[in-house]
Amino acid sequence: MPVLNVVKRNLFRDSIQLMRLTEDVKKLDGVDDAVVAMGTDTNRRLLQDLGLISKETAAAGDGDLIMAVRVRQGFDGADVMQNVEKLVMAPPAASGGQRTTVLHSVSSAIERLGGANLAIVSVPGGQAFEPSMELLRNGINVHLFSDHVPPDQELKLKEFARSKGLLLMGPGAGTSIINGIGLGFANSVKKGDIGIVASAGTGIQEVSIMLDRIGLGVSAALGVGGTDVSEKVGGLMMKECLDVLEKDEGTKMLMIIAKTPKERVIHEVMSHVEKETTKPVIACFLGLDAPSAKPGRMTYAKTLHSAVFRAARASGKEVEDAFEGRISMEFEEILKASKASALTLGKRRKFVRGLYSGGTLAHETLLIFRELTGEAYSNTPLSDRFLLPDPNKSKNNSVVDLGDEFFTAGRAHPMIDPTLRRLRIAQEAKDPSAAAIMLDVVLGYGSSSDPGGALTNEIEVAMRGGLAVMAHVCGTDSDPQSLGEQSHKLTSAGATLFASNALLSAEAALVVGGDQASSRLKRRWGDLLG
Amino acid sequence: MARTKKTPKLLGSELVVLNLGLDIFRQALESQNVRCVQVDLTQAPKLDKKLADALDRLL
Repeated sequence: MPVLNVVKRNLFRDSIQLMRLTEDVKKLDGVDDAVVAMGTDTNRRLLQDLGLISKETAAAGDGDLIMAVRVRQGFDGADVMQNVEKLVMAPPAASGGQRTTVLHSVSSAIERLGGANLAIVSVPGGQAFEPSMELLRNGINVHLFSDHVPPDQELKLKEFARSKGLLLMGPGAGTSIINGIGLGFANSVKKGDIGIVASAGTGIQEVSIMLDRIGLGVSAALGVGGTDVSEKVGGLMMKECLDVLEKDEGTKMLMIIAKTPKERVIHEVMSHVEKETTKPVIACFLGLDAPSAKPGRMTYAKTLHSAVFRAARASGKEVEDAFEGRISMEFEEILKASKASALTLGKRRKFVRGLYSGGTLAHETLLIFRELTGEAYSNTPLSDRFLLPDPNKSKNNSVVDLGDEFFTAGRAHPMIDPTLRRLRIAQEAKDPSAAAIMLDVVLGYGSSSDPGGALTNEIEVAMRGGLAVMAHVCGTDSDPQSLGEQSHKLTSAGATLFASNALLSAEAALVVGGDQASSRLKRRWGDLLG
Repeated sequence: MARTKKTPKLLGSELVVLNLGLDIFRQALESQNVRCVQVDLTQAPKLDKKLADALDRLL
């Protein structure tokens, strides 16, 4: 079947529009398969893998739009491409069923809506400063989802926000929950009295869904973005958010989650906590050993799983029992399951491949692997020595964050579009040294409508090829995709599910790490899973 | 001495949201019954502010 590509120079569509255009083009008469994408390296590689590339695309750049189509036998290629172009070139419209009014300036939107108190900003990072500043000048808090806002601009926005008594959450703030409303990628969780401040988006998701499963709830979860805990920004907005939660009468306990903050920043944030707050605090600084804790209201946790366990223990015996019953596993149970999995693997199958959509979850897995089997390779490694030379190719034990910029330039995030992960599972299944695939399946607002179901074909292929597939579903039954339904789809395809990412990681480490990993886990149980 | 800094007041208020950028977040807000409006700054990059405001008044 002929493959035809058309390139439109300097034509931009955002990643969500491109994903939808791809689905719409696939439905046209005469189209066997299709991709509509920006001409980034990742997308050109995707076209190559799908057999959808032609010579016209060789000269396409990041700012050019590619329509790549495999035309069915018996159809005229020129006619088919004419229909494809007509569809793709139609002016983009907001989707979602009914017609939606789209406004073109911040000031007219403020006037039209009346009483706006929050904005979600997800424009390209290089263009985020001006509209964010305009919003702040108008007294509107900002949840800045965009990445790659220059550090100077971030600091300027945050200092201005603080001077006005406003919040500037982000850049790179993937998740927040305010007044029970999920912003960005967030799960539908119970309301309660635990307030979370985090510089780790899927950290909020993982902790909030685990709290939900044991009957605890969230008063607010405020995502401040990973760069807030950089040396330059110094945790400025993390401290502001802690002040907000300290003053909030509905918040009785504070949780702080940060992915590898700088030590000076940890010290600064914890000094602030000590001086300015009075409520019990559980702090989880993923990737760094906890500061020496004085006995009292501050508790430190090394993993997200442990942070929730400590919250459960602080909430009374009934909740601690719920944690033991609904989330935790006994050491012997994990050991037995890992030995059973290891027995089914051929002798050449030695390595785990973690294919993650959540950056914080990938990070937690890297930490647990470092403790149990030695550090794994990654595109976002704990130490430079373990940087994957090519993020598209795994090496030994590898944990890949498919939500990293390398993969998302010109594409929707893997929580929204599962295409890249499906291809990567199929790729790993062909590697005779791969023993097990680990997956996080993240539900919630903003995510794909069927994130688990979208992976089942590839999971089945991997299982038939002799690999083990293990997964953690980060979600609740109240999420739009439903935890029960997604879990059923994954287990029907053969995947083994775990109630937390830390349990999944420990199990995977034991499958390939054998007796040495299990004796390490036994020693480190209290730090990692208790 | 007590600090006189302003503390953000967002918790406990009804959220009224402007969504600048990905439409998927507007859909998520609407599914949670949040009053919101979509703002797309990329659709009319050549318009100056007065013209953009005028266009919005017509919509």
